[in-house]
Amino acid sequence: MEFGWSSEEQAFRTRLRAVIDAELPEQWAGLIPGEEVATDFTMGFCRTLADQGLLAPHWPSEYGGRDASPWQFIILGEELWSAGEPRGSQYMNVNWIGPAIIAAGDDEQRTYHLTRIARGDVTWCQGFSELGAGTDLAAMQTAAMRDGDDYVVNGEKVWTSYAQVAEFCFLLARTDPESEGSRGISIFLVPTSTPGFTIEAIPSVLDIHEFNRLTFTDMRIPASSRLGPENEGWQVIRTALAHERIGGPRYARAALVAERLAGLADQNGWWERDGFRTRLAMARSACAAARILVYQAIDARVKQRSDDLAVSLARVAIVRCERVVAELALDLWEDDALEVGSIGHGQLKTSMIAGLGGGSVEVQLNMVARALLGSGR
Amino acid sequence: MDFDLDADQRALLDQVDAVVAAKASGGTYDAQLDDALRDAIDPAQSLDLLDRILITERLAELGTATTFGTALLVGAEVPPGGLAVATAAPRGLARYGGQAATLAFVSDVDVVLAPTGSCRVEEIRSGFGYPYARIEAPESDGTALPGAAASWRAALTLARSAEVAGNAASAVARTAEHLRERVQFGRPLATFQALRHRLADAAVSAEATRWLVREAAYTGSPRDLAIAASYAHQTAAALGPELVQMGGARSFAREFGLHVYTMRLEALRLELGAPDRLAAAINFPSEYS
Repeated sequence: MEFGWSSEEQAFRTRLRAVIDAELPEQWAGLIPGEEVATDFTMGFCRTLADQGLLAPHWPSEYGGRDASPWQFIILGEELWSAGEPRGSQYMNVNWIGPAIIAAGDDEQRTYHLTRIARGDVTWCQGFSELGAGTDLAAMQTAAMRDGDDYVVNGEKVWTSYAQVAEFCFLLARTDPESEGSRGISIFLVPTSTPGFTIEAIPSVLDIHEFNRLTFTDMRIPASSRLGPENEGWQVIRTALAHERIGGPRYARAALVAERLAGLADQNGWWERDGFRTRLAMARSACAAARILVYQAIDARVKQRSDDLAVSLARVAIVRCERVVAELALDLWEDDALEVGSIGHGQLKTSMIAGLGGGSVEVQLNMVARALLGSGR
Repeated sequence: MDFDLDADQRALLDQVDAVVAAKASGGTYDAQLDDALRDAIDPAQSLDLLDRILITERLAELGTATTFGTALLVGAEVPPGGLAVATAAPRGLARYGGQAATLAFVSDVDVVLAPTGSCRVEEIRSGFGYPYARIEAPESDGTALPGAAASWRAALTLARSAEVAGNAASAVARTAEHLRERVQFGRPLATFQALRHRLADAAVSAEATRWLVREAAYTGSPRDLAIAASYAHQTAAALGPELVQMGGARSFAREFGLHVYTMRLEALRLELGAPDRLAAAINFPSEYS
């Protein structure tokens, strides 16, 4: 047991920081993650990372990576989330969409999609949740019916992030109409420009983040766009979601906000405010707790063991730390936080998303409980 | 980064388990256990801070009543017959002060070691799973360790944090056992989601405490230690009442056994000091020593 970084990992972090420092515009530090989803800047930044071998270092070299360990994957996430996530929505591509295609794709899919993702010039969204299937994702009903060499898709996906800028959708659809639950689901890699695929924004109170409704009306897609075997997409999704739950190390962003609060405390007289010192310390320790539990999950991943429980523990701790930091920020900024665009406002909205983005945290509590108490049935 | 015990660490904990299995006499202090641990695990061998913390955490997890873990952390030598430590602030109470053969007084400037017989010792009534005594240092007859105060204080904080981790792990496990076995309204309590989520939440705190403390022991960084101690305090303060609540009225009964851990969690958070004191070590590390 040891908790040090190897010289290679340290060098990677140092190099990454140098690139981030050189590339980020001055005003970027004040932005909220998710605010710039796919601007010219984020697209250009991803290409720069790709050029320097820093976009998907943890991928196998044959697909554009450098065979780097999962530790470099988490270092990459930490550094970029604590820099305000300048990859925009593309963090998702390298965290789990690419790995899902590596795991289940055919040669043609791998060549086409992985090349583009690794170059940093494509944006994706995920077509997962439906009105009747959010946390209970396996209840989804969007149907893809086989018709010759094609599938015809009908249905609706909701609360989809990044769709407004996405070129492709990682779409789940039921290919066996007789099936229920997790069986009979397949994955499709679908251009959002496909006829019958419409995207509309769902008005929301989040302000910093856009939600969308995806509607599929007799959308015809080739069978070659299916990822993996028909009706057996669930295992691919399970793995992908495990990546997603800790792939965006939000604790790094929360820790950064906590440090900014400490930095602003002198000029704002916060040290003298009742409870500030204790709450700041609690916020800092909550971020550290989330970090160490994520590291535990990464350790399991490195050793190719199941990381399910470790991921669930980590995700709960991540949500906690985001909320603790956000609550502190709100109490410090008070009514300044009412204005959209203020740091306090961004924290409020971040806190609102925390327990839901990447899947509801209650599911993770269920998984921890199952490990301790059995199925509960 | 490697979260697995290596072979040496595994062997060390196996030794601890074996000694405890052979010698432990329930939840009351037994000098024989201290001495047996001292004989089995030679403190003079090259144990690093993480090794020592793993032992301390394990002893707490096993519900033992021993001074060995703390003694192992504060100094290179573990005196026979157990070591109790009193700090000047806030009140100078010492866990096992009425039982250990050697007493240590940690002031702001130094540490004084003295045999119990030369000190004034007054055991207090306390129901927190450890015996406590108010002790006064001898006017003479002590052995001063000049300049050792800061390192002893840090070691004590780390020891207490590790003990929180050990007690929290066992308290969660004992509560889980109870929820699986206890049937109410015709079904096991473990089937009620209101309880499942609360226990899962407690498990997250227990697990994070364990790893933060181990990490702090590995890095030796004052900031990591301060973070771990603050988090351990929060865990102890939250889990004590929370797990008692889940255990129901049985939690109060000594025969049920949960109190060994929950009451010690309460004791440990009080020993660690209040959240504002722990916060100072994080927020103002240069002013805190």
